[in-house]
Amino acid sequence: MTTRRTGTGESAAGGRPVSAPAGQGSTATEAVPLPGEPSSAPQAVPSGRARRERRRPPNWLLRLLTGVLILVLWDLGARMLESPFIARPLGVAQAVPEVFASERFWQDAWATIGSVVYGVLIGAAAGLVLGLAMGRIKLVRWFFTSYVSALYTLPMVAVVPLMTIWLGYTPETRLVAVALSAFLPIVVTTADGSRAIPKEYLDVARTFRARVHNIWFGIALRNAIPYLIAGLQLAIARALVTAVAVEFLAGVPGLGYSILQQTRSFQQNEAFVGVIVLTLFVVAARALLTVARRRFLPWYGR
Amino acid sequence: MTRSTTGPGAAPEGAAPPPATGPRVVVSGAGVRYGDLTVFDGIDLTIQDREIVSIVGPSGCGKTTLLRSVDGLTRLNSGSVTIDGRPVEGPTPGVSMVFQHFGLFPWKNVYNNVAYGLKLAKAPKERIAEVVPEYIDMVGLAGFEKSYPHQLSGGMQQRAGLARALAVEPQVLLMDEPFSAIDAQTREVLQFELLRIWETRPIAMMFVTHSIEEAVLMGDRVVVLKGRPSHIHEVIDVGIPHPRTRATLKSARFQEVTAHVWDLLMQDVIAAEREVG
Repeated sequence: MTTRRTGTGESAAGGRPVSAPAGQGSTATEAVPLPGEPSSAPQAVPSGRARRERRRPPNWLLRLLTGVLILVLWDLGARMLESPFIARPLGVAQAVPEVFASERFWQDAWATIGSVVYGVLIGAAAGLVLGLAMGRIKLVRWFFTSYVSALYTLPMVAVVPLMTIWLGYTPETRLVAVALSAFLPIVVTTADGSRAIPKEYLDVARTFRARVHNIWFGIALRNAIPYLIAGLQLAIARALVTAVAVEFLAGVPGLGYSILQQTRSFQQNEAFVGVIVLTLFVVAARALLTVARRRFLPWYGR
Repeated sequence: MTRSTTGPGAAPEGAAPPPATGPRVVVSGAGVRYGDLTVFDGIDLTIQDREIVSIVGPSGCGKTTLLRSVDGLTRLNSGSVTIDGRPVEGPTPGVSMVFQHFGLFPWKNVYNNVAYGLKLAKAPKERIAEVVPEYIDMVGLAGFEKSYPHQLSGGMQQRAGLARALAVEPQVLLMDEPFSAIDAQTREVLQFELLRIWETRPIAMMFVTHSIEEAVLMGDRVVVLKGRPSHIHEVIDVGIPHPRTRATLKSARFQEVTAHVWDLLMQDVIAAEREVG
């Protein structure tokens, strides 16, 4: 399906399959009505995509332009402040080859990103179990709900110093903190998803005499998957914040720690490369989840 | 208030001749309450094998609740339901339901949705592989095995819902307003297809609908629920032989029975309007 935006004359293309033969689309382009002019001849209307391209630049171009605009404003702002300690886009870009060539950088990057990946996997697995139990068993829900929501609102950063006392200034502290911060959003979303099973599904299951495990794993879990994906989107962002915070506070080696060190030794350009790599990681991970949802849950909408 | 008639205005019938196969479903003295509200009470109803009984009544009269209590999804507060002589205490083997909302699982394709009941009943794989395509074919969904519900029209989704209910080869089929969420033209097509399927393997069927025409077209008998709490106001023997076709809709008997049921239900609607006014 095309995503239709309400635009001028757009409605005239309604119902026309986008997968119209290319030749048909291009010949029809000549007969495109003026914006706002409703077409009375449906055969003269090209596919939605062809019309949009004519009228407006594509989305990715607009996004790119926005990015360029931000960079320009950044550069102008830095120039106006005239401080040598403010990183500027060109300086950051120039630092990239050097930073990427260093082995240390990739070690740090993997230390941080790896801890996020493993931490989220551990936290999600545990969160899924507790979430499903909370969603399906009243007693478990009563018992845990207030604790889970209390912990969910607690910034994990506040507990990190305590965790260093228990687990030391080690990568394990980071892993535990990351897993814990990923665990909570997964618990909350999975509990909701496995509880909010549409009554229709339960009627069908009961009519065919489904047993408890059929409902848990055949319906509740399946119904919770879109919620789980939403939970993972939250979890990844929270997990990265926690990983970097642990590195800052406990001096655990990783990209966050390097960023701190480089900033303190006036290597802002290098530090910025690290920031950008972390950002790209989160963006890529979330995009991957969105792709997975569209691919595997097509009925869930966009 | 319960009486059985052979036709509109006809005198109450005497004892019906004993059926050859015996009753499948026996509802006796059934009542359901929600708190202080009694939905229905004192319902006595017997459904024979190979018989279609339609249930009509105004909205909120509890026709769906009655159907659900036969399916064991809703508990009765009084009275009992037995199927083949065994009291219903929960969903019973041999009883299938087709839902108004189709109730297909969006994450399963047509094949797996249709196979759902058989899988839960732990039917052997070979049996599932044999039976499922047969019923998919029977409801006219051949070629759509791999489609997902969101890719199908409402009518096609309900075809899948029907195939799922039939695939477990039930002795009793419960239809809960199965076609009311479907556009009028498709509904008519499905009504006749259901009749055609039923004619090839007739079983006991309980058909809840709010459409009087549908009730008369489908039913061998039409049960009219009325009143608050509702009770069986009248049971009408439709007396139109199977196979029923589009010509049935034009027949004098069909018109006559439909008009009679209309009258029964309109009395209530008019009375309700007056009460409000």
